[in-house]
Amino acid sequence: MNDNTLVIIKSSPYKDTQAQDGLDFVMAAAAFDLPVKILFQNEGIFNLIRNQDSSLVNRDNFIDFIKAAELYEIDPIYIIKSDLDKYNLDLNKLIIESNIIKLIDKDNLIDLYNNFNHILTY
Amino acid sequence: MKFCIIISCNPNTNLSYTALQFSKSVLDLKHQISLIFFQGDGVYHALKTNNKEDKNWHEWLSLMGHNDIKLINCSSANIKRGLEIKGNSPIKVAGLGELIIAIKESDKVMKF
Repeated sequence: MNDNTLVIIKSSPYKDTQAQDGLDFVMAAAAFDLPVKILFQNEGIFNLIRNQDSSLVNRDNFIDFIKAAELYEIDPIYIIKSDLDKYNLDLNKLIIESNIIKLIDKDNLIDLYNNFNHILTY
Repeated sequence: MKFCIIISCNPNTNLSYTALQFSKSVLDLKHQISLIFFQGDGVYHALKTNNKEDKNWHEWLSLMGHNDIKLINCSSANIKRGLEIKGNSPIKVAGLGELIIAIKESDKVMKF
């Protein structure tokens, strides 16, 4: 196994605190040298939409953190291809550069899971 | 096998009860629990320590105490919800760093 922990963000950004809790976990993991990668799935993909102003609801968001993905060694960021279609999104609408995104098929999720010791879903 | 358990569900949910039953089973099967970490709405479990009528919760808490299992509330989740943990509570307060260290030392991590 190459990596240790996969964090799956399935919650939309402002529905509850789950996505925020996931972000806090990923930042702490990066700070404490726990190898971690992120998969944005289902509504979780809305955390990556451009031009969000989370300060209006007094929340942090993924934008600044994801911009520093390479620094924190959390790249690549995993996104499921069919989720982009489901929500009528394309990569241009997301905050992350395409070179750090790894698009995967839903059918290959099990293969992805098999690369990690721990999987946490937020 | 060593488990680390994260509880982020509200205590008034079926998932909370499942977490309780799961941790009992882990100990029954002679496995270890390195840490139970309450995150998000899971920190509200600390309020249950004041409710003596909640038999399930008290059984669970005493089981954890007898096995020297660390029970920790996430400090930032506490602050966001205005929770204050009193000194005599079996649940202590710490940051996510404690969780990360426990994950590094655990074979399995379960999140409820």
